[in-house]
Amino acid sequence: MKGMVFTNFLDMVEDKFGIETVDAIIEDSDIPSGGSYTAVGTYPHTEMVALLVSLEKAVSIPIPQLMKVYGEHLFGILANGYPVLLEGCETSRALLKKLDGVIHVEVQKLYPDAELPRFKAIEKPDGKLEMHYLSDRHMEDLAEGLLTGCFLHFNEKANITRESGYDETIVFTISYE
Amino acid sequence: MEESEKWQKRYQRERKARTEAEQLLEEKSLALYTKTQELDELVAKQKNLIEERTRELATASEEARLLSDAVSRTENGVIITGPDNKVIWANQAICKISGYETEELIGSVPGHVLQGSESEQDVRKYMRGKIRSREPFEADILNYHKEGHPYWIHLQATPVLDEAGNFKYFVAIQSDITEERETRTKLVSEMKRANIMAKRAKEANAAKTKFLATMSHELRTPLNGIIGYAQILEKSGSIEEKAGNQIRIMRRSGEHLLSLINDLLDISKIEAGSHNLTPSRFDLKGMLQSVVEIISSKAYEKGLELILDYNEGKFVPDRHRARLFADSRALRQVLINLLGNAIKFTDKGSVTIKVEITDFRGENAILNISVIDTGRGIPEDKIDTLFDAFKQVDEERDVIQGSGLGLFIALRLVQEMGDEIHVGSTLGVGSSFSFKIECPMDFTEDRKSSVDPRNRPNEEKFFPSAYDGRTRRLLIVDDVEDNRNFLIDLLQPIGFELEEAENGTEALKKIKNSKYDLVLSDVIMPFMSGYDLIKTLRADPECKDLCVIAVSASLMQLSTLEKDKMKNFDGFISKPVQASELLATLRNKLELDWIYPETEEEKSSASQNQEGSEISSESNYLMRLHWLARIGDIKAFKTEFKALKDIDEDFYKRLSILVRGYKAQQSAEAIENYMHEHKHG
Repeated sequence: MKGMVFTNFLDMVEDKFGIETVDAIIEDSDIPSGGSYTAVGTYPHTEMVALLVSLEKAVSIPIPQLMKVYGEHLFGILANGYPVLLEGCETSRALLKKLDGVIHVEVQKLYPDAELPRFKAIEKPDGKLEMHYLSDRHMEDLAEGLLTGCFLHFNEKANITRESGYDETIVFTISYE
Repeated sequence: MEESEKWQKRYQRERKARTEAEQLLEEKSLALYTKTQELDELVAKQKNLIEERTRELATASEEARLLSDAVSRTENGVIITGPDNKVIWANQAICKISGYETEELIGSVPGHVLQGSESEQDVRKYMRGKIRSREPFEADILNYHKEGHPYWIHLQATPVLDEAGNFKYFVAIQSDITEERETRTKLVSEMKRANIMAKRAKEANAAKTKFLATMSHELRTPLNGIIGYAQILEKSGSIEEKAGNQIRIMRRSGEHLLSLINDLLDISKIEAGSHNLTPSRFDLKGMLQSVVEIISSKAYEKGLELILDYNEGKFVPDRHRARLFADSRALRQVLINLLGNAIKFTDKGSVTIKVEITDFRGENAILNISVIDTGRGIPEDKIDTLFDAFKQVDEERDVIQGSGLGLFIALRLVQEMGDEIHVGSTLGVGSSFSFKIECPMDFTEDRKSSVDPRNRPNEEKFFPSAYDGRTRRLLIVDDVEDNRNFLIDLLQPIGFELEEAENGTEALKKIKNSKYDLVLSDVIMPFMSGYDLIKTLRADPECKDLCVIAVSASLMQLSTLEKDKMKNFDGFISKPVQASELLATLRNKLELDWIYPETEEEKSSASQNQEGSEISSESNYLMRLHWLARIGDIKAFKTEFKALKDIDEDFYKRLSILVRGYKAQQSAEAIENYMHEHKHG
């Protein structure tokens, strides 16, 4: 998992719960990196899971909710940090349709060691958009948070429903208002 | 945890992250640097490649400029046509040659513009075919100038293909060959004229040859009468000595005239190139002996020894005789000419004919033949011109008899047989003429000596007066009465029963009604020729075995076809008829034993001698020795004269000395004297 996911996560924990909480979850999780992350590095995703487990314990908020919140926060960071990836996308639908085929391809070029999930957009005849998520890491909560952050970024309103699809695919159905 | 300890940890975390970030940055920078290096190298390479290409392009465009310059300015017309066969480019020269402007030519089909009514259709068709199949071609074709006058060009067209092998365009180069064509046309007509002239000359020459052949036939016929009757008179035995000499002169003059006619005919045939060798199988030794017989009288008259030195080496098996497959007539004539020439220029000593079989491989034998004389010799500066035709006639007509063509004819015949005549000569010592022939050889059993000592010697002096056995009936066929009469006068006294016929038809009638032992037939006769007569006889089962001898003056003018027809005859005798030849043929064909008239001397010696047969056999033996010495057959002489030791040892010893020295003539004289002294005939 890219270092910037970790650094932004710890920044958010520090912002919302204070530096003490940051120290506490690092201490508690006993992760190999010792909580020392650089944005351009790459770290095992198990560290993120360990940090989330410790945070849940420290602040008494369930992990899925924590991840959704972090996803919402992360999209803002990504949009500001990599505006080039959003170029030419006026709506979230346009961005989401480009995600798997275009944006992830570019990310892979920039970080050849990055392990990206499949996140494919399928337009439905009724105007809805299906996002099919597939990843060994099962970060679908983070994905949902990112989707919410995306709508916020484009200043749109949309409903997201989630169900399990074929194999281990998670299908998000987006209905725009 | 103390506050300071917390900050300590936080600081350590951050420092670790920073170090890690710096490390990653370093790695990225290095990777970037390496990539940049690679990129630089790639760029440099591309730059070089571009420069190289640019240079190549510059060179190519310079070459193209030079080429275009050259093509534009060459004297030869150049046209380039595209896939639709229309002109896409033309140079200045083509405009100059054709009279058309470049603009008029471009877009046109060259054949339509440049060719016209007189341009050869076949050539145009050929060119169109080649253009269609995109093949290179060359052609000469008549083109037309814009103003209408025609001119000849030589066209050389080559298709140009692209790298993939697809046709791009045709490049055609045209050169004006009008002048060259005109010269060639003139040359061809000149050559035609020359050929006609040559043909006319050849025809004239052939006509001349034919005339000579006909004339020779015409000349021989009267000579037949002259020589024939001279022979009969000379050998009749009832003529006074003075008259006998006169008749002899008459006969020799006739024979001389005949040899001149023969030479002239031979030379005209050789000059006309119509002489061909016709090989047949013949007995070598027999041929040599007959040559010696013919020439021996001439040698005898000049008191020269004539020696036949025949050496068949180890190649001929015992009791066998060599047979050659060659033109015996030509070989015979070469020998007679060389021997005649040798005798003519030799005043004392000998003339030797030396024949040696030097090799026999496969079925081909090689023979070395030389004629060696002890004559006056030939000056070195004369040797080269020795064989020139007519040479001697001009220079030495007064001194030497003969046409002077003998050596020339001999040389040409030897050349036809595949060699040259080599001359060796020392002034005052003698000359030698030698040549080599190579021809197939086989062998026949030597059943009987060709020489019959009982008969031959007296033939020199007399004709036979009779023959043993029953009377033989002969038919003489000839359209010329004189010729028939001569044969009758010659043969009747010997005891033949003779009938005459004037042509083939009459002969045929007589043959059907009566039985003959032999027919002597002329070849060229009215109504039915000798050829047709023999053809009819051979086809008739009743007469096919009848012995028919051709008697003709026309041998020299026979074509190959006629020579073929001659093969149907059982033999051939040339006119003027030599009595000895005719008698030998008759003896041979009819298996006769001649009986000779006895001279007064013989008659008396016969009555004086009571021993009879014993003496007679001794006398025959001496006569045979005498004859062998006369013809110069020293080899046979040496074998046979050993028996003389038992008859007279003294004489044998005297003769041995002469024989060892190859003195054939002196041996003959010695035997003659001996016989005279001892009353042997």
